[in-house]
Amino acid sequence: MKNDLWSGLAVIALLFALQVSLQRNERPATKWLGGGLMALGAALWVVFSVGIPAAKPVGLFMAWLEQLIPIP
Amino acid sequence: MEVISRRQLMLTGTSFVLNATLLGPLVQVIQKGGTDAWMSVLVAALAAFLPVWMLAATAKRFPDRDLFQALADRHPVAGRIIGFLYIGYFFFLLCRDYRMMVLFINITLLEFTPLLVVALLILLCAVYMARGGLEVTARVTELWMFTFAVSIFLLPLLLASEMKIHHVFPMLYDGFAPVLHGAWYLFPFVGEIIALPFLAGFPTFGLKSGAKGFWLGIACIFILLACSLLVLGASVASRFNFPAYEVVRLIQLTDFLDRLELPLVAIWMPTMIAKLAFGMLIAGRGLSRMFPALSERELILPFGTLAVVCSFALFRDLTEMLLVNRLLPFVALVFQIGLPLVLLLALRPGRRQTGRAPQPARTK
Repeated sequence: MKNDLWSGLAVIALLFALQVSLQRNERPATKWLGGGLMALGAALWVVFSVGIPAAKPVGLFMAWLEQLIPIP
Repeated sequence: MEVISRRQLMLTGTSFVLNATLLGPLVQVIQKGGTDAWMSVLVAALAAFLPVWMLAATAKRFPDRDLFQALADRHPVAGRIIGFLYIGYFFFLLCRDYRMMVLFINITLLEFTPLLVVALLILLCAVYMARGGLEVTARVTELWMFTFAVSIFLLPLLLASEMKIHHVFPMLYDGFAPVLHGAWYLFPFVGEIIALPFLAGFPTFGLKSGAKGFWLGIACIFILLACSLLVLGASVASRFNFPAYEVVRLIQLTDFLDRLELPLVAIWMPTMIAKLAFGMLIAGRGLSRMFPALSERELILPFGTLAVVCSFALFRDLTEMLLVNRLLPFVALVFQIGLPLVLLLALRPGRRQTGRAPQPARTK
């Protein structure tokens, strides 16, 4: 996923520009929340593509869960 | 004011029951259920119909209001917490559906196209649809889901020559446990119909419209699973990632229509994109219902963007998706059985609300 870092960020930037251009609502709460969600998306993308590219969160969680309870 | 009909809601329910099931657990149901996997559909359906009944009974107490509104009005704090939990649940399902769809396109159709390009194109379609509102998305679903359901009902006729009845024998050779095991995997997927009362209130969503949509979806799954078993056999079907797709690939109608799976995928794809749009709508709608300062329409693209990122971050490959299918039944027990039961018992209209005129109708 490391190779996808810049392409992913470019896609998110494109979507952010689209969001700004489509925004007609003047309510600041929506703007902040929308921008915050997109920023969170960009941050997650950076973390997962550079910081922990080999991480498998679901696999890790399932391995942990299987130790606690029997999973059919 | 958004107006959707009962038929649109019914077909939306079918879409919620059927679409993700086709990509997700069918192979695991066949692996666990073996030749008796078709019985698992019926067992899972009986279990998943319970929340439909519970939520229909709850929604009936709050005419013309969806469950998010009812929760926020009746119990401002606890209701909002439950609303947030459901938004999280549906967002997780949105991420999973997104990843499954991108994986399916990558594996079967566009092998060399970068995943991000596929993801971006799907996102743009879904966001455009969802920004049109519930009405537009329900109309798209009505049109394509009906066509898709009719196509599925025609499949047994087209595959009749390939079917071999001995593939489903011996029945119950290992007892009923494999059937229950298969149903355990299927139940969370068919139970996704619980999204309906969060989209539309009573009387559009009621037991009748919910049940019709649910059983139509179950019938489609049953036909596809039975065709997979009868044509391929349990041992072969359990080795494919998408057994329903593989069985459709076997259809050959003359030399001109020897790839009937492509038109069928083309019919299925808009219904799946509409399901993704519903996922974004639920997230945006839930927040705007509970916090009126927020705009539903303008939260759709941010939620869609976050869903794309989370879908790639959470689920790396198809193996991860199959792992998630093992986890989902536990999650579904909470959100599809536990919380609807809590809502049924705890969510009653207050004294002031019972006597006052209903809120502006959003559905007919």
